[in-house]
Amino acid sequence: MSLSRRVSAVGLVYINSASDSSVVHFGDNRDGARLKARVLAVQRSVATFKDNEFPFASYSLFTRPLPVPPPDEGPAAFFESSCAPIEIGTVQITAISAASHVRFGNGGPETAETRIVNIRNRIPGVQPRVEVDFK
Amino acid sequence: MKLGQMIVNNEPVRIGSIRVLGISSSSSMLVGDTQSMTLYSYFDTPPESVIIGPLAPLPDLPEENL
Repeated sequence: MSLSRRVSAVGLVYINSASDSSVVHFGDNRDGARLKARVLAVQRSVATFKDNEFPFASYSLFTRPLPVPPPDEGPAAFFESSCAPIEIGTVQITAISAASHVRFGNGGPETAETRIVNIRNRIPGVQPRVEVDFK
Repeated sequence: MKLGQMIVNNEPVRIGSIRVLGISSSSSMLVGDTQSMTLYSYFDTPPESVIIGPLAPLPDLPEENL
């Protein structure tokens, strides 16, 4: 079942940043989007990092299976939009990040996945050059 | 159990202005229609993610083990 088409008109768009597997999309889309971002954030008193020090495989979060959404229930749905237009005046977005998605128009299915591990590594006796707040 | 039918008529959409500060971690902002949306996000910061201890870098692995 496919969605009808729509004409999208946006007057003014201001987007400061779109990063890390993010998508900004104007208009319709047939196949949806599959977004994925895996992040390992390591905060250390001194920046002594080596190559391949934090492989994703070492952290179970990245191998954990994704939850399976429940099957569709309820009545069969039929959608009709008969080219009904989408009109938007002004859009101002400061930041889009980490497998996020912005679209003006029809489309789907959307699938997005983000996994983040945050590690704080404090080394006693070593004062960071920049003040770091270890919470 | 099969229920009846649902017919949805998507009428025109008109929006004046939108101001958003942040969209992050598998989020979506959609002006329009979609069939389905599956968004995941994990954020893993267990207590052991805070390591307080001396830094003892291990020596590099020999070439054949890489």
